[in-house]
Amino acid sequence: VGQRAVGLRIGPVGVAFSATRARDRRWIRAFFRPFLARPAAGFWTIALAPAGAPAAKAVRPRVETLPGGRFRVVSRRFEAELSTQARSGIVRLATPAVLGTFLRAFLGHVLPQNNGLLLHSAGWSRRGRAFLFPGRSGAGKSTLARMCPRAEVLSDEIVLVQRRRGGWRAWGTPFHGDLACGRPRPAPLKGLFFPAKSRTWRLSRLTAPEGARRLLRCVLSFDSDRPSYDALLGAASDLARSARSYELSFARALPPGRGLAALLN
Amino acid sequence: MSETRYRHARRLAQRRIAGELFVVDPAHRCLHQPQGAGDTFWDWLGDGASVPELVERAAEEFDAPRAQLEKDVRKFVRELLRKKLLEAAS
Repeated sequence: VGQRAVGLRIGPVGVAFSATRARDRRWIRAFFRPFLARPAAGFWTIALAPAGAPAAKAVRPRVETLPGGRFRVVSRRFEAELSTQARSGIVRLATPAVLGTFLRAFLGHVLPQNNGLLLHSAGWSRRGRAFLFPGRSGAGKSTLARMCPRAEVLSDEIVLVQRRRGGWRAWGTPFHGDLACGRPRPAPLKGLFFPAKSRTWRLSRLTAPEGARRLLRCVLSFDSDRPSYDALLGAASDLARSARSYELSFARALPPGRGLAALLN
Repeated sequence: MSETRYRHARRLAQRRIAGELFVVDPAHRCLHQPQGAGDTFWDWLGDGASVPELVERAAEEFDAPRAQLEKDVRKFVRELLRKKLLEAAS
């Protein structure tokens, strides 16, 4: 790691990309600007190298666990091999534009091993608490992210959560949908509010198993083996049992007479 | 199928959350949740069991006609085999 390294901190995970091509470094600095961080101890060191022949046919990445604490992330657009123990590795890619996809697969693999998850979710931070709205595409994440102007948007697409001392915390990520957003700082989790499109506004408490069922549909993972999913189920189980889960039936217009934040509180 | 012993496919990850079973198939990124009696049958298959063994245990456990239990067990096992969630126990 030297002058050619660009550091990022996404949630609790630090990554120092070592890139010989100036355009790769420029792209990382521009695309991930709010998440830039000075490389420090504990960061992953990942070298960027030119791509060889495509290692896979599919565009969707796939993470494969290898012996010796190593893992591989393969896609038609890039190929990476990394060591969990050494916290280092290499990504071969033709263009830095695919780094976002690599980072999703990478974080989706390493977070569950550290009591964390990457979620398809919008989220806000308001008065120091994080309100998450987990849902797949079309669930209304961006709509809900826009509905509380006084809140700081974590993301309208993908949010990172991790259990720390004192409970679960949520971070914004550089992965976003319609809104150009991303809040790098964490906030303690207030609750999980699963959106359901409706004509009226209503908040209903979910049981832990129902919360877990909905949560698991929203966990982002590109893994392909049992040990990785054992870790993922462990983290999801912990989150579902410790966080309050609700179904948030929502309409296009804000709830009459009071703001959305008041309804959620 | 009657004498073959089956067990959970080894690639599956599974966990109970607040008493409810969640089974993930990493190969297909699918979530499965055996419900009702299926949840119990699934547990019995953990150590390996044949259809007649499952029917025998079901007859002890549930207050239902044996013919109905056998039909339900066979249907359940057939469905799991179709989804490749079971493999032959050696």
